Amino acid sequence: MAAAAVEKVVSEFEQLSPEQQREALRLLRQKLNGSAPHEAVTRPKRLNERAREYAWLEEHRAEYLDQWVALDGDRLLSHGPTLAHVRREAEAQGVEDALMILIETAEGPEFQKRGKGDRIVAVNVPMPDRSREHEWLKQHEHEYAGQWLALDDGRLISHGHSMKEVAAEAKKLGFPNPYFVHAESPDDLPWAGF
Amino acid sequence: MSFQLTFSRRHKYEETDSGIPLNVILQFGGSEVECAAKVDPGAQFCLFRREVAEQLGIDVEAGIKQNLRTLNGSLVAYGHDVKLITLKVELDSYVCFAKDYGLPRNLLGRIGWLRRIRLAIIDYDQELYLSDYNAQD
Repeated sequence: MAAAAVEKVVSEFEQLSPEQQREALRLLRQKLNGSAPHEAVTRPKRLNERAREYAWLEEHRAEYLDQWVALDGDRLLSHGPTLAHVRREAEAQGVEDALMILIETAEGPEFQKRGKGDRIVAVNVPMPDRSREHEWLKQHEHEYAGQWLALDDGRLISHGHSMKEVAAEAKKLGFPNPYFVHAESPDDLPWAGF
Repeated sequence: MSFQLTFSRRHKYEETDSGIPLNVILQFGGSEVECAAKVDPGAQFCLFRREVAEQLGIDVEAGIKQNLRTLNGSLVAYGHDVKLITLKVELDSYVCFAKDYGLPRNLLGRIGWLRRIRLAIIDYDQELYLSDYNAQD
């Protein structure tokens, strides 16, 4: 690559936000390490809602192993041994919706509890707002009764009788993490349990 | 005597919905699937369609075999450890996946979900309230 082209890339990089720079560096690292090039594409876009928190976690994970952390953007509000502890400290700082995550290692005490009962591992994690998809379903679900639907951006992306094929089609169209629904019919009998 | 509970999240559902639906994200390995499931406090386990497991890359039969009793007989499912997210609360959960294709619906039952959350339902208003259950409070 000519020196001028490199300078142009560097100049454009400098104009990115800190989050975008981290993402760009992550992608470059991936490419240099030869890892799957599609990984960045399939990263759920819901995580963008907490991009600063997840960037912080990527950078500082090793410093807080086997602890709970509470984050507000890239600000560490609290860390400690229990969810109750970090929640109290986050709320004391006036943050009600901090992302609270257990950073665990395979050797750590929390991880050893796996399989011995369900447990909470994170609170306030991002989830997509699917109200537009539900609006669409109210109008159209009956037209596709018995089929799998992949919805995103408030619209139907793909549909069919095989979830695998519906998912593959959605991915091909640029929607790797759609909302899957198996469409019901208004004529179905009321449900009484299995 | 009266009792008061507080919750961190409120979810509205539709009167026309069949059952009480929640959006669920299931994660396994590097994959995740977002789908709909019905709240079912009468179910002992969380039970999901086989198709969902396959989409997550789970080898269904490699799990723990569970024979489950139903209203009109029984069905076979296999239990797996997955991550389950509902209303922004993420759990390490034990979830069963049906052996056969075509399970009519996904269920959020006690083990794997209900026993790690606090839940209130006011069906008259189509409102569901939820918080994580913090055993270490």
